[in-house]
Amino acid sequence: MTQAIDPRRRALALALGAGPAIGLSGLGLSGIALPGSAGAVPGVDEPPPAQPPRALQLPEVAERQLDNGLVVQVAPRPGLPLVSLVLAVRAGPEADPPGRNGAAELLATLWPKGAQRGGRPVGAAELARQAEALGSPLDARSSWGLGTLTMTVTSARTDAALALLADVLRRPLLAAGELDRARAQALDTLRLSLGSPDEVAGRVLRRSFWGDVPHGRVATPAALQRLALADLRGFQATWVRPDRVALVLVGDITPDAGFQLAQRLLGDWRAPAGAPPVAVMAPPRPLDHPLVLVDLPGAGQSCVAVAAPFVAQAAADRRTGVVAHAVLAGGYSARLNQVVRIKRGLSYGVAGTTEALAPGGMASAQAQTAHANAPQVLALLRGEITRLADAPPGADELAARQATLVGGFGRRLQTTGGLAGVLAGQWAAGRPLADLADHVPQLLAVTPAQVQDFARRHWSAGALRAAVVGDLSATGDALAEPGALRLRMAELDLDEPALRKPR
Amino acid sequence: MPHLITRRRGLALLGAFPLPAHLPAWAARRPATAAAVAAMPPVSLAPMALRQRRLANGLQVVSLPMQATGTVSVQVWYHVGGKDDPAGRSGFAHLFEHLMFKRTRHMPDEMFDRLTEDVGGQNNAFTAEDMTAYQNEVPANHLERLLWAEAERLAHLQVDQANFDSERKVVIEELRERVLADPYGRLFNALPGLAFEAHPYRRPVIGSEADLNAATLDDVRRFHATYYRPDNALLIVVGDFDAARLDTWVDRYFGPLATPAAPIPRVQVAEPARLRDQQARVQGPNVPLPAVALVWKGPPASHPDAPALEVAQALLSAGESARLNQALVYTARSAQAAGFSADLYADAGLLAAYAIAASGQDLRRLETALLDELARLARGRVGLDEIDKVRTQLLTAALLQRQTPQGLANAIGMAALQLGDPREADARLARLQAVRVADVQRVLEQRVLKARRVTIDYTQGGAA
Repeated sequence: MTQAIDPRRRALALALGAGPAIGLSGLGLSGIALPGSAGAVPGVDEPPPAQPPRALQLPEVAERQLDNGLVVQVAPRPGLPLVSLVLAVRAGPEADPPGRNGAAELLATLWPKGAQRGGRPVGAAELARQAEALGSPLDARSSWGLGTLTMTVTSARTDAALALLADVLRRPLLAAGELDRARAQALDTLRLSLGSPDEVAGRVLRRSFWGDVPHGRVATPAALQRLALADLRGFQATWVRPDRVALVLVGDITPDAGFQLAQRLLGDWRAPAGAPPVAVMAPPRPLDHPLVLVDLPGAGQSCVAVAAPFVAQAAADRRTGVVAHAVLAGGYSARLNQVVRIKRGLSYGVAGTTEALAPGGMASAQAQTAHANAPQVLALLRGEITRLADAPPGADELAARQATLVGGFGRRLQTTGGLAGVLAGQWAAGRPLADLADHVPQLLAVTPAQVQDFARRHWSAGALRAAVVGDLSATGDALAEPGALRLRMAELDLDEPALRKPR
Repeated sequence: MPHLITRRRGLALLGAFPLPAHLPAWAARRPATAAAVAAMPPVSLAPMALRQRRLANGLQVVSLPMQATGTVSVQVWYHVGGKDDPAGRSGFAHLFEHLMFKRTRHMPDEMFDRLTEDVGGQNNAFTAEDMTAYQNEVPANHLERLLWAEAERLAHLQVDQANFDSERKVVIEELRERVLADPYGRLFNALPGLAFEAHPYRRPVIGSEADLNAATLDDVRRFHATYYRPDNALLIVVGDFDAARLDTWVDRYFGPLATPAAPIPRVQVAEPARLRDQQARVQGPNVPLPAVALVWKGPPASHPDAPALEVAQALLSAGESARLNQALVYTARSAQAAGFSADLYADAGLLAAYAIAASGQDLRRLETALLDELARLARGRVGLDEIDKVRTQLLTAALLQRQTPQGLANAIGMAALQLGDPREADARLARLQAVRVADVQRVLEQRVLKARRVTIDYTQGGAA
């Protein structure tokens, strides 16, 4: 139905089941052999065999660019009368001006707090009421390289929702009173998070691994206090322009309708003269200390967090890295959770994440544990990460983790919001639509040797950084290793490159 | 109806108390642009085409075919929850849930992960007051394997001492993470014990460390034999499947399971009405900002007042524009977060209003502000646009849940176990849409403003 619309449109309907893509039964997984299952009868004393696999359909996505440079992507999904809308800006905290950490995040917080609508200012309360009357919160957030405004509404409310999102992004009020309010709330939220060992560990780990570069900075109370309205208005004027914005529509809407709507509500937005700006970025510059210890007296648990180098956004071996990380932390059965939770019961679970950003990447894992167990959990996490270079996954282990990745990807595509998020993320990372079709085949093509090679190149002991946050008086001396930086909570200053508050 | 948090092998607890960061809610009495919104066509929702069966051994089976999902959700919900924890064994139903991932007659430990995660699926489970649910989603061609495996662990679980000890450690870690490490964990963990006076709902589902340590392998065997039987279970299958084949497989794997002759023990305790107001203090060692919570007893989930309470919850707490957020967080700036929840379980309910103070705010003034907002809703004017907004929010949320096989299966399971009939998943939505302002005002007046409550102050102090 959209063939004539735009030459840039990419049809992504790939029947993955036909190729190696989803043919998981072809990977030797359909009839897992159990210990001692010789002579077992399927369906009686072992699981019956799987049926033939079905094809997974990737969604069709139509794309076009408005004259002002704004990209529009529409993924129709008939069925339920729902549409997810994302307005995405390709800029995040990495573009905060020097000394102005938190500008992008605070700006995103202020977007829903007032906008010019139909020639009159509409305040925060009324704007929230307008959005929620359409059935959806007005979700605004800022992450590395990407700011988003998101709503999911019933299809009849799509036009009204986009009109609202467009006003909010193009004409935010950015009022002084709202800045004060948002700042006070952000400070209280920070206070809340500074009582929580995992929140503190996550921030300390970022500062340790990335160091004093844009992606290593975190918003602190002092930084929030410094921010002025002019900083937010400056960020808005510099980065929020149609040639750095995309609209993603997913759900009960046709490409025709989506493009027409985009043209009507966003087509008259003029980009400022001059080329779009470029953010100054730098690769990670890790702290010298391999381990940072933060004493949080009275903490209920300790949090142990470890970071390792990961690939940059455009790296050729990105998907090898994704699979290698999955062997360690991709799901419940991956290696880190095996050694910490499943074999030893030391934690409720290990959580792993990766970020592949423009100048570099970070892979991390963290777990909460009783204070006395923190040294053991730290040793286990470090040991498993570095061991991958010598102990590549076997064929079954690798196939299982690849299946986990592919299955997780498939589930994200089940919902309008999930797919819209995937598309916005791909666009922000500068990837063409066709990259989506490569995702599953490339994940499944990674071999054990490639995983091992990746681990050898990236995950040596010296490249790791770690943080432990908890009641160190209950932890014992086992963490007192050479080079460790030990701080009381009151001495921690995340604005300082060396993390220690000046005396 | 409670709103569950499900985490991997987690438990549904505190569902109505989202973290402060995502807190909700309203006050605008501005009719301004309402006209445009009110003119929108009403959202309609097609009823689910449920298939229902009951096997001779008592197993209830509900299935719902969905086209082209490529996956299928296979869930087993048992009518046993935290309220059925044996005496002196609080937390046991949840500990038991973890053990269901260990070995069976024909499966080694963690085989469920091989059958789900390792083929691109997922598994999870949760324990709540009235239920324990096991939730799998797998590529559609793996349906038969999951049916075999669920039947296998229903009937033939084999727990040994080593597995029991190791999993108990994990559950204790989970308790510490949820209750001790979270700055507000101790407060929310204390609410059931303060809200209920007689019913076993007063024990938190997560239990206590001492009770968990007192549990034995014999308790495990007894609990499995008592509650894990076909006539105490609901099998739910939603997604991409062939109906005739599903029925054949269900007959093959679940049909032969035997039902014990003994009746299933049920909690018979009736929760009495509260006779007087009370005050309580709860302390934690790391409470960045103090909080106050007010709790009342509520009706069971199946009570005719339930929909009005759910709408009241939405008016007070659903979203940025909800009344408590607008009044306390936005306008007065006296709270960092504020909410109202109606957690209605099968036998009784718990209503709670709470606020986390903004820096430097006094808890007594915060308590007064909460009560004032409840009174304003119960006795003041509520615009049609406001009730319309809430209807749209609730229906949109239901549609969102219905996008996935797991979401649909959840809706079916909650309706069946809390309201007694899977078709209630649709019926309750219709009832929510029919709630009038007068209904909301009457239930708030009777069950909150004129009812006795417990006021809980949560502050920094004391050790662990």
